[in-house]
Amino acid sequence: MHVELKSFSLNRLLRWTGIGFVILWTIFPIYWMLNNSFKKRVDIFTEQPSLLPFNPTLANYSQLIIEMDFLVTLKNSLIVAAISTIIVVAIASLSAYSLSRYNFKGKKLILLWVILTRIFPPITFVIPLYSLMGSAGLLNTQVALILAYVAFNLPFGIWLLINFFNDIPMELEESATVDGASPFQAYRKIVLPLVAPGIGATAIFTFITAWNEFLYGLIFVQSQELMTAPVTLSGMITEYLVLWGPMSAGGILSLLPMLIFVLFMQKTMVSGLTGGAVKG
Amino acid sequence: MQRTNKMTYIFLIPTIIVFLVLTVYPLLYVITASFFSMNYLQGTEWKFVGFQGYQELFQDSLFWVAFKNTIIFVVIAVSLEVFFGLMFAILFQKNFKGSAIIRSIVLLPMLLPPITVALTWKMMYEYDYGIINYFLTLVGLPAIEWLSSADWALFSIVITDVWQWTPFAFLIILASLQTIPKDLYESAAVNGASGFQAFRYITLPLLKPVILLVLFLRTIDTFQIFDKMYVLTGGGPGNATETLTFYIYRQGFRYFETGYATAATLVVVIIIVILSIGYIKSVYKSAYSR
Repeated sequence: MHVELKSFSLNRLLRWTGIGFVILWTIFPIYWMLNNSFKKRVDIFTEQPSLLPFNPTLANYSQLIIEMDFLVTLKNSLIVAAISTIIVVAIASLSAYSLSRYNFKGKKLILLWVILTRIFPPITFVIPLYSLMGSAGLLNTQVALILAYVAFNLPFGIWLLINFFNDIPMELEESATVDGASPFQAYRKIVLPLVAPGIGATAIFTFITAWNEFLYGLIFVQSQELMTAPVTLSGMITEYLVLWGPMSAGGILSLLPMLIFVLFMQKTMVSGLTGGAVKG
Repeated sequence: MQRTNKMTYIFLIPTIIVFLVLTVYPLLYVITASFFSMNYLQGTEWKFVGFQGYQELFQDSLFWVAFKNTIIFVVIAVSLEVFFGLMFAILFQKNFKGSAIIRSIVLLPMLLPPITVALTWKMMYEYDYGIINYFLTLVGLPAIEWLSSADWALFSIVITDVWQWTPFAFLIILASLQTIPKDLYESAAVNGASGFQAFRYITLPLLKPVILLVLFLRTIDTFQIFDKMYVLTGGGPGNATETLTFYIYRQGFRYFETGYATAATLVVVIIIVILSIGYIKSVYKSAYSR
């Protein structure tokens, strides 16, 4: 009995040390950016970096927002991410419903294409889309980015939603159609409300992917006033000078929306991230 | 399964249009262009060269460097992510007061923009003023040239990637871990199994499918790593952190060798599809078997 108790508390000690270490490891890099965002340049470049901003300043934030128009950058990110999300959710929910409910010619082909494009790396489409957008006169516009983000988030959305639709018993709409509802009415009034969690997960994931995306943002948009946040932030590193302070401030602003998401979505995240392969 | 009706097709029209214009056409473009020589910037005409682009690609030592770096990076980063993800999941398996909030905090890194993650690590890796070297020298260790030495640079980016993506492995493994019935462990304990034996003979076998899934998903995602190299090292020092995506980016958008870059793209796509065959088959079946 005595021995058991001892090993029990040793286990506990190990576990809590482990948990403490995990939290420290996770938080520190984010904290370090937050810390530097409130420091003057001389306090960032010092032999003895301080764990707290002893002379806190908002100068980095004001330089970022007033001189570098970072709010416009955030607005660009928001526009591109929000519009592509709305389009993906609208299109994906309709198609996923069809694919989940009906048998028809070409279904196998569409499903295969959905899976394949989910797997293709984004770099696959960057050259052809660049040339396509070029001939459509869309380079250096937000439309180009929105279309690109729709292109590679749509398969993901369809895939995720098929799994959610599959979980809803078909008898529900069948009885509605027997009662005289059209297929579209059955879809809108009965099925759609039941897959609301799936729609939410799809929306959140599409939004995050678009908000964080870098490669297409870098290549498709050249004007400063249209750039998204990751591209603007990466531009603060030049060969001669890195704007550490404003960059930290911008980094912190760029991750704020994610803080909101993480609090709400632990459950939906599992099925979302695995494309429904593991249920949360 | 209901039979076809007109609505089926109408519901699918937008998706079909998006696919045709934004993914089917582009893939055909990549395949075609890879057999041509064409420089976008010089506006040269398309010239059919057959497999010459591929031949040049396979003879370019930089392509093989990028290939090797990508493989090394994927193998080390993904194994570490899965290993630590499993460890984290075991630590957080039992619920305790505040465990939901702490789990959310641990998940945070994977939601952040990779560029932001790379930037904060760039500050921490700074040789003269970075916090990591400060701590190292504080305990009497030599400072390390994290990003500017060819020996360390790739590994430094691995650490950054592991920081960001271990939570992904953690989240998915934890979800699966919590579905293992408790009485399995209880009866194992009654039969005198040690904690390690229970882990080895109960936990691991039951987690195997989900561990394989995480390995796969992380592999195809890590294969295309670009953002972190772009910010942390720019592919350097020398070519120490050049990866396949970086190589394609450079060929396509610095030198504008469209034909050549598409050949490289297609090689990457083929590798990824081959890696994914098992996965494609299994998800395809599960979607269609309804």
